[in-house]
Amino acid sequence: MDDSLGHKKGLGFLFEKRSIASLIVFRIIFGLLALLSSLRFVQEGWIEVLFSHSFFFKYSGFAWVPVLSVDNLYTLFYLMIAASICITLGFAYRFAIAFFFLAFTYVDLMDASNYLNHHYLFSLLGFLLIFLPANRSFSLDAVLRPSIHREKMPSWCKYILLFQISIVYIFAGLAKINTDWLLHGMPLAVWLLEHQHLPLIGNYLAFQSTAVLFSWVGMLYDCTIVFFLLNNRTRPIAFLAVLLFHGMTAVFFNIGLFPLIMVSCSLLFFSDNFHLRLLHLFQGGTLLGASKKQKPTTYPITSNSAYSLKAVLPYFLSIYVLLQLILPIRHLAYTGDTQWTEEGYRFSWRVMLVEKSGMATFHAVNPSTGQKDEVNSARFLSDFQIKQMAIQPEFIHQFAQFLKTHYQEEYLWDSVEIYVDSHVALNGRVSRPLIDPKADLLKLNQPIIQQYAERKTPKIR
Amino acid sequence: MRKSLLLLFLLASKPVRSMPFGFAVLISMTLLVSCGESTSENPCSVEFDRISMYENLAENLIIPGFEDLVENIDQLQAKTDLFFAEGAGEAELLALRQAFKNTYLSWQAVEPYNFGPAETVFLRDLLNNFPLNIQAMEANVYSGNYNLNTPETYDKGLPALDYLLFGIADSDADIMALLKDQSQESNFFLYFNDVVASMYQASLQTLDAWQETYQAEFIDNDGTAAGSSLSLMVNALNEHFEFIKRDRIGIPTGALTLQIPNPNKVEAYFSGLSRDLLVASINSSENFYTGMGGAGLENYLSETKARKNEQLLSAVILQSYEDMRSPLANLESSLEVEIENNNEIVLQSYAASATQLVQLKTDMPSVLCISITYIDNPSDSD
Repeated sequence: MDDSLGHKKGLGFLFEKRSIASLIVFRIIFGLLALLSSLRFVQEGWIEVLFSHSFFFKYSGFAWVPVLSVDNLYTLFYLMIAASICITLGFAYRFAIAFFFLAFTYVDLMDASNYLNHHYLFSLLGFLLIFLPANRSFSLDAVLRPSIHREKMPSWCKYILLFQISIVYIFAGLAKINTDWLLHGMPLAVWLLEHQHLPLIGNYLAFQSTAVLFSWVGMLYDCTIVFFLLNNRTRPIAFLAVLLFHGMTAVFFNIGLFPLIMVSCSLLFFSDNFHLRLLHLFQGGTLLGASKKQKPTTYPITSNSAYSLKAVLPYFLSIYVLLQLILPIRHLAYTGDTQWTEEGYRFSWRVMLVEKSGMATFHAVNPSTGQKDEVNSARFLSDFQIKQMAIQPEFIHQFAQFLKTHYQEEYLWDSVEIYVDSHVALNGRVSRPLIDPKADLLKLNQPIIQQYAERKTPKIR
Repeated sequence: MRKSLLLLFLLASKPVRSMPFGFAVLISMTLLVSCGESTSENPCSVEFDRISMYENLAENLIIPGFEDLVENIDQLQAKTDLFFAEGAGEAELLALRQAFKNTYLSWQAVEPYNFGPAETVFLRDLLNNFPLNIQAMEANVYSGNYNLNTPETYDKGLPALDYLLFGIADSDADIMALLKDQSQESNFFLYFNDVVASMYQASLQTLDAWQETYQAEFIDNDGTAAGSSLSLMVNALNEHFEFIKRDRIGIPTGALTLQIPNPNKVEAYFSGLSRDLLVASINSSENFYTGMGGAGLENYLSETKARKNEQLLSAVILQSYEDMRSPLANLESSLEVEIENNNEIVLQSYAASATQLVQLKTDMPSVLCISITYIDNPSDSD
């Protein structure tokens, strides 16, 4: 085809007008999930559990993020609850969603040991929603200011969300293509074993073949579900599979809102008509009828702004898309197995992939006096942080830096060396040392991760 | 430039009809390749009769252990009555002390089983919170106002008796005079009796619960989930072992306190039983692990054939228990003396306990496919 035609086709594809209904449904669901998530956090008392100790792990580049006091965090969460309600109702939408995104992301940035894939996804969706016209219909904003009301939106608004959801599935699926998962049924074998009391299937969960079967189904599901959801003919079946799959993960794993988020997001794959009907059902038809009447009159296209948006949008979208494609594969740039080293593990949709536990015992040494101390990590860290640190070299490194200052200030040591005796057990194996116990952690920029020899042989036992 | 960016976006987001087909091909290829390799046995479904392990533990270790403890406290109570009786002297003091030692040793045998009934009544806290807070205890004695059933305080149980029987005065005559002096308001006589009575009550309550309902519950509660008997056992074994490592060795030797020894923080400081008690607690941890001839975690672990450093993990754990004990066998007196004179020998035992803890806390649960539940996820996971 002609080059310029292809160009036009590309642009047309992104800016083609389509019904705004799917975005509206998505906004309402997002608002409700945000509300549920914030309420749960407050109600379960997680603020105290997660944020009332003295040391916090940081994401690289975000070490400056301060930690609020527990009281202030409660205030923040109440504001987030209010923002969620505003998002759902489409009231002061742009402000509410921007606030929610910033607050939610801030809470997650405070302590890197709390990293959760579905929190990261929720942050990303919140970020995208800031730029989407999700309050232009079925919203208080549109009622109060009818001039902003729209029935249509450019297609990119839907495609960017579809893209985001698709890469979660596909990268989660690709990450499952490894010998532990596919050949040994690990770590599902461990996790399924815990549910033998379940009716009907409980008895089958102890078998090797069940774990391997579930592993394959999980991998195939993640790798392909997007394509079956995109296809008109297979969509109803695919959505049934979505419900079944996430229903089962909700039963088997302690993964909070993740199943709900993924099921809700899958609705985006449905046609615009479906969403229109959904809204119609929701509103009893009256508002939809009314807004349809308004449509011809209040539809002035401010061509200027639309034109400039068209100019910058491809760059913006492309950067976002590129980043989302590169982050999950950045582990290829590191040596070693990501499951063992944890380098490139986060932000990569490696969801429920390993069963890992470990122990890290720190020793502080003052080389000028010969003094030596075994560190009581529980003095500074929560049990959960200790558990996370034991398996993540990056955290071990951060804690060593903290200990240096601690021994300098509390014991007035003029020089400090920090060593760690660390052992990690992965997917049913016996433990192996994670970091060279003879290496002074303060002399390394990154801790040396010992070669995990066992990874070379596929056999677990 | 702009065009290629757009193309990328197109590729990334636009439905490509042939992709499901492509994926199907890719996946069938992966399947074919993987079918070529032999799949190993599921390490989590090892053939082992866990029920017989629960039965052995309950019938041969736990219930007889608590029976023995109750019996010993009963004896202690009898000797206490004799000691405080009119005209009792040195002989009664010695008999009471012997009953105290027997009780302390019988306590070590059941200390690891801190789950179910023992956990409910806070048996370990009520019987053996050490080191004793002498000031808190004496405040109790002088005020006459105390509650011996609070788990948090360090003013009661065997450590209190240890002080009253051995440390309250320098000579036996003075000790007897102080304890038996019932004239003053602040009397040790009452406190001593109350401590023994509360120990008896808590132990009996635990034994009764095991005999009446918990034994059946324990044997029935199979599986690997949090709260199953297997997970309770492994957690309890680890908690107890950490208690040995930290409180019995780590703190007294100074391994955990900048190498500044704290000999006064050993268990049973005043009676000088610390070394025997430490050895007894290592033995009881080992018995819990082996099942003492019957089915135990050791047998379960050896069924998995898991290896560590070219040896069976089940055997490596046994060796580590021995490595902890053997330095202690060379010691002649109590730990507080040895910590002052031969701390490096006691520290050898500590080093072995560090190795052992990794094996019990990380290797064993991993290989048996149990998660350590006393470190809970505070929120969700994915």
